[in-house]
Amino acid sequence: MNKLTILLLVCTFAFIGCGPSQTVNRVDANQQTDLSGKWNDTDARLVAEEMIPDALTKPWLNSFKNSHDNSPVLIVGRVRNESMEHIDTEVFTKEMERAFVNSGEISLVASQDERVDIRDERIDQQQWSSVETTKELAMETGADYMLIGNINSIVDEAVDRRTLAVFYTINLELVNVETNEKVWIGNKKIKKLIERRNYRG
Amino acid sequence: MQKLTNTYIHLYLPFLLVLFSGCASYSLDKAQVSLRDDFSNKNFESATAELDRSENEEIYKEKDQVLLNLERGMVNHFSGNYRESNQYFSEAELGIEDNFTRSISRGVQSMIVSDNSLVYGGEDYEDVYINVFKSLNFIHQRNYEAALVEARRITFKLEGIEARNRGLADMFAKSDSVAEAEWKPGNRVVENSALGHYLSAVLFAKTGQIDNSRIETERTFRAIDDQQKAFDFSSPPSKDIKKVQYGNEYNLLITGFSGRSPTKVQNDVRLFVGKYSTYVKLSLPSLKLYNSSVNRIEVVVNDSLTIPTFVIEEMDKVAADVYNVKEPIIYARSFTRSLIKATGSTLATKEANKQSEGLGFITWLAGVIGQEISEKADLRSWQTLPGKAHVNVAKLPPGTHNLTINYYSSQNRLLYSENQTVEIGSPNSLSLVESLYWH
Repeated sequence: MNKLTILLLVCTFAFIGCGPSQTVNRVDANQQTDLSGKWNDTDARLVAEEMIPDALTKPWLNSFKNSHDNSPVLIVGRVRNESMEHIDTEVFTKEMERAFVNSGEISLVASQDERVDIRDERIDQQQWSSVETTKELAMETGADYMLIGNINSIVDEAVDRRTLAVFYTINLELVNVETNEKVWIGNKKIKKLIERRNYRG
Repeated sequence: MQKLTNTYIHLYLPFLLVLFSGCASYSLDKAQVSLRDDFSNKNFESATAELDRSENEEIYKEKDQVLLNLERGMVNHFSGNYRESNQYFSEAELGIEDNFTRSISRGVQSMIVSDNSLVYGGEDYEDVYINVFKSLNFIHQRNYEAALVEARRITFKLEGIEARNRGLADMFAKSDSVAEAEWKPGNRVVENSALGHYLSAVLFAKTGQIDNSRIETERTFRAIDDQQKAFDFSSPPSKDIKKVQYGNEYNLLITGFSGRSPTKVQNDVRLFVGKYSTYVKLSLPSLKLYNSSVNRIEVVVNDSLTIPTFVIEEMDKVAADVYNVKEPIIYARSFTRSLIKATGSTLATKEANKQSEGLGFITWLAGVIGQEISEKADLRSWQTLPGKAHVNVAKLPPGTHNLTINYYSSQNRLLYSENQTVEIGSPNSLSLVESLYWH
């Protein structure tokens, strides 16, 4: 190996760490982008895609319609995160809300957090809005069902840390607010296998 | 002339590259000392400014991002900026995960330049402490669900460490043909966190997950046992640890941090050997433990009730124990590197001597200077990590309470006192009082 080759090798290794700066490309929102193996938008979409048709086609909806003149009213309650990641459950609950409202089969009322601001606004209107436009107090629609649920995860990692299996199970339930009766239970399971490389350039 | 120029390029350019790579590491050492000074005086604003300056001046390079985020996470934690602290700790955690994949180019660089070229990948115990402090941040923000996520991560990471230690122990046991030594996990290195398990036990108990809390309490005892085997550690009262399983018996978690993490110091060995006066420089790090003057911490509630705390973890000794295991590897690498540099320098001197004696001398001198500057011990470590964690739980009536946190020496002398107020909510809630005396 001559000296020039050695010199070139040294320079190559010295500067090999200097990669290009970041690039940004717009991609389709439905494109699967698994970068770290953690919970991401694809998982949230998979949950929504499974849960929405399931909730809309199960017998509880027809049973309610047969015994009532109006469509059932839903409120989104708490979806507890019992996993090992910080997961924003709103990503798929909002998707479900949108599908429910757009289906015309189910009505929705604002959730516990959302209604605080709306109630403040209504109270504010009593003092500051014109009489004709002021909205009345205590005229809220009471929900018939509450959507609750939880996300659990089981993580199994190889001793050498190269392989990681993550199993998520997402349970959503519709509970009758008056009777505590559970009328629908939806479940989605997602399993991921993450392989880590030992070395990079 | 052309031949002479080529010789200069071939001989000196690698030296210059090596030389400049080594220089930057000294700036980081200075920045670490400065940060430590600010932190010890609880001057968190100045510590933040020091970290900003170091980042702007690129003293913390891309390879040091985990370290920078650990420091920023801790400074923000003790400044009360819990959201920001979690952001930095999350970045550090991601960085540690990412650094699982080792960089070949950096590995080669470390053999040519110094260990400072390696990415600061974080130790296993640092990875666990990230979740401990993130969990405390979430309790401060009263986001118990998120605190529990961190508790689960602590449990998961500690289970993984134990499995790896066990795997390593099995491997040693199988390869030990003499079979005189008994290879048991936990005997060599304490990478189990009593603090992590204790915190998880508290959070599981407070959220009604009784069985998980019981398991974590048992693991707390095991982790304490590991610490006792590894170094001189006095066992905390078992009744105080068992108490955490019963979430309805307390609504206040007390955490006090004293002492500081160990520092690394550089020890240089210089030798001239052989016919060509080959210069060899070895630059070896060694760990220096900080002797904390604090012996115990007491919390006085409304000038009447006194709640003692106990040391659950000596983080400084855990850090030292982990370093001691790695020291032979660090020393072997340093020795190999010095040998490569010295051999390269001798060969270059020989080659230059063929041109002229003067050029030979200049080459030899360049070799000495190159080694002198580039060979540098890796002194990077998490500077703002406290030395010891003191904890306890207590039950107070709902309302606002004035707390005085007193730090005492072993001679019972009051070293430091701090006043805080704590708001106790419903019986099922959990309030956190946290204090730091970095001496």
